[in-house]
Amino acid sequence: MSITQVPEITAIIKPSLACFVAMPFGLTLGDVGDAAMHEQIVRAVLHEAEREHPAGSIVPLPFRWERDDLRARQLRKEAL
Amino acid sequence: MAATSDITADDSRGFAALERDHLRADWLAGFEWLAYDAPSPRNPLRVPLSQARVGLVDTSGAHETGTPPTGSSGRAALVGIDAGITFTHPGFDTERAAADPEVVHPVATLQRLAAQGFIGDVAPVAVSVMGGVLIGQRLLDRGVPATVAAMRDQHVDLALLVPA
Repeated sequence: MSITQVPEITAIIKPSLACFVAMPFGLTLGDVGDAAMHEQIVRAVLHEAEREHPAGSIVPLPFRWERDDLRARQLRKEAL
Repeated sequence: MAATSDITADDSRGFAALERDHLRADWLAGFEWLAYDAPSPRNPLRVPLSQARVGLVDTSGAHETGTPPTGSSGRAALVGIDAGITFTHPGFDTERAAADPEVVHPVATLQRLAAQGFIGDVAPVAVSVMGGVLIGQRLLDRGVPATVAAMRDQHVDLALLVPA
């Protein structure tokens, strides 16, 4: 069971099952100290492992980084 | 299969090419993503999730403090879930993970889920690779076999791969 922040790359490599979260690199499961978000994301991902998705599925989850524009800047290669 | 084009909220479209070009320019001329024609097969859970042993695999470059980082070798670090860890990775700001490892190495999160009965338990040894290995064959030759062996040796029912 994989998590992905970039479905395009995951679609090239084709793991058996992946869940997409629109979170920054280095903050995959949420912000520093946000234990509730870490748990929400991991729960949601593990829950998908019980479902009958075809091999290669990339399942979008409703988690997006909204604190600032870090993810957007990372995706433009303007931030690490 | 849920194709990438179905992910309407995907804000990362175009990043694969951008990242590839960046890596070619700055790190490895001729870099290309390791592509596969068909997906890896799914192996359905053999036990309910509430009884499953979950093994953590991540690409954060975590290693037990005092041990050498894996770097671009493609090797996998075996990381005891109770061990002190250090993050060594050039591709993301590791200060955030140093402040709170759970952002990319969710051991305590998994342990809470086990305590709640959502999963069975957590494998005592996690596996971490440095996700910026540009020569994919190194991962296939070194990191992948070690990861598979670690998961099998611990009788893991479900491996969770967390990218950094």
